Amino acid sequence: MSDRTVDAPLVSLRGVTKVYEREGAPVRALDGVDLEVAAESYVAVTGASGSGKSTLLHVIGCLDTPSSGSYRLLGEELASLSADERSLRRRRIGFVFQAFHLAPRMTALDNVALPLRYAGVSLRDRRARAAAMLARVGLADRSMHTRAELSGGQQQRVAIARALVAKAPLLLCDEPTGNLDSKSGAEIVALLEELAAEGRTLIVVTHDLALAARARRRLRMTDGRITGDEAS
Amino acid sequence: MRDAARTLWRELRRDRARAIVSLLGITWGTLAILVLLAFTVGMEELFDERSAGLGDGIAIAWPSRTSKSWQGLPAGRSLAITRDDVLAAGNAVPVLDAISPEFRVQDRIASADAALRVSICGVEPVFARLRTLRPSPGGRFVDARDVAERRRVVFLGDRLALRLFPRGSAVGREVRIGRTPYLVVGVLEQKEQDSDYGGKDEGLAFAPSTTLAAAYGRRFVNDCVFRARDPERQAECTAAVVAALAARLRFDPADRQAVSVWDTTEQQRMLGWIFLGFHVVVGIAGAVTLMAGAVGIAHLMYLMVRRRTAELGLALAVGARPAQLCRELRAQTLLLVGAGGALGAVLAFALVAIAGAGPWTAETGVPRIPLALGVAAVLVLCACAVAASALPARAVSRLDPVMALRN
Repeated sequence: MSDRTVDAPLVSLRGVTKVYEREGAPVRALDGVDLEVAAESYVAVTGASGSGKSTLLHVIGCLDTPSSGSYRLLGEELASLSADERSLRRRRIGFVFQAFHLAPRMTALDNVALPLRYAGVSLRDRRARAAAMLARVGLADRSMHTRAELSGGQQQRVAIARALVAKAPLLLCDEPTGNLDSKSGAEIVALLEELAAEGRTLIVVTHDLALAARARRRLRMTDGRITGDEAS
Repeated sequence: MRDAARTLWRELRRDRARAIVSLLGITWGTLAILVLLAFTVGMEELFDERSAGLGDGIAIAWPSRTSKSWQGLPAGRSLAITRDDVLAAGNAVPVLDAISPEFRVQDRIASADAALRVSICGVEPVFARLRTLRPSPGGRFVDARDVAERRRVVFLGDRLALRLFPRGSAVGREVRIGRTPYLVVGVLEQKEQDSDYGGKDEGLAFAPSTTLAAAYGRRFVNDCVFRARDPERQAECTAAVVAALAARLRFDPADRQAVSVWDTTEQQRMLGWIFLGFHVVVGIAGAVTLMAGAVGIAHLMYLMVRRRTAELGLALAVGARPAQLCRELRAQTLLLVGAGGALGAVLAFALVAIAGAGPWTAETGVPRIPLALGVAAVLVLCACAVAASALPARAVSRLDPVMALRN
């Protein structure tokens, strides 16, 4: 049941807590997080390993559910949805992972088209849209290449094209330059900046301070809590 | 479906040996279930045909000795039945379809080429229908005028006709039975017959009941042959015929020893049950083989899910619903089982066609795959596909996208 409101922030978390069981002991990965992200924001989240950055991203991306608290995306409460309902909401979100997560035996084109396949788009349409998106990230000539035939930077561009192809209003990036050399990393940073400039909402989790410095808003996380929030 | 098929093909190519073995398991199971049942169906049809050679749902009754005293008459009387008794009993039983008295004599029958000692049956025209005595083209059986006018005509068993007239058609020729000339009016069309009472029809001669009774001075019949209008009411019909005879011959209708009855429908019913059991046992054996194949497919699909864990996690991350992935997996399993089953069915039809053309079919029957069996095989295959996809689908439905992506 949607209770979406018109001028609500794109992302809104209130008192979100996530507690895991690890070897019988509870671990508070998120500890009462309050956060609002407006549309067309470019947010970087930094923090030490284990500070809760990735968990925050998983909760915002509906890959995980909070143990308590409220999470609204586009004004709709998502904290207590079923697995099937969360899958449907994930169609509003694009993911870019550190490890790229391209299907190894699919071509770049099919990888980019993957979200459209499960959204019920016809094969012809999804191939056309995927090809256009590959052209957008500068890989039109690599569309029929498989993962093994692409460099790390190219794989991450394919992953970004995949995140963009369904026209999701929110793009979540988990260490997008973490597995790249400095040159490829710089290219990805530039691409993300372009997307932000086009008005897309980006939340980027990173250890890369240079990348974080380019964001318009920077959050710092410590022990599952947001301990710093600055805008430039 | 096209996406599911493409993914399946891609995965099967990665693990060809296992895929082929699993597919062949289903192929073998389908082949086994169809071929085994086709042979039992063929065999049952052969038994039915042979059983019908004696007569179609008939009972044969012959007089015996009473075992109970009745209306002042002592037990132990030998009964004798006339043609009139039989015909009167027939008129008295509404559930009866047809009844014929049967006289039997042994005598010499001779043509210009041969002379043999055979059984000659004196019967009514309806006897042909009761005992499935079909004339070969150009001939006929004894008819009503033959009986009414006591004509000296005879209908020969096919084997007997061949021995008497080895060089040509017997119809229209003359034979002598004893010293009396008879005109051959028909010859039996060849038929399968697995049981008889006093010789197979191929070696017998059939004359009008009135002619034979007059020629040999016979008043009493050897037996009578009858059947009910509704095969399900044969027992009721038999009891009514015995009761009608009891009324005319004055014996206790409950005296089971007074008139002996061979009800062939009981034998056919028994045979039906035996074959049903046979079909069930063979069907179960085939289904177990098929289930073994389904276990192979289930294992293959489960390995495929495990191998694709990260890919499935990614699919979930980009918006696939768990139910969608399960549906896709079931479609893939169905495709796989369907392909194996289709191959098995093609091989089964080919094998059955080859086996049905061999000389052994005279003893084994012609194997046949009836439509109902084909439908049953498809249903069993679908059940196998559902069963084979259950465990892998459960694994998919429980996938945690975060954990799967870490895989």
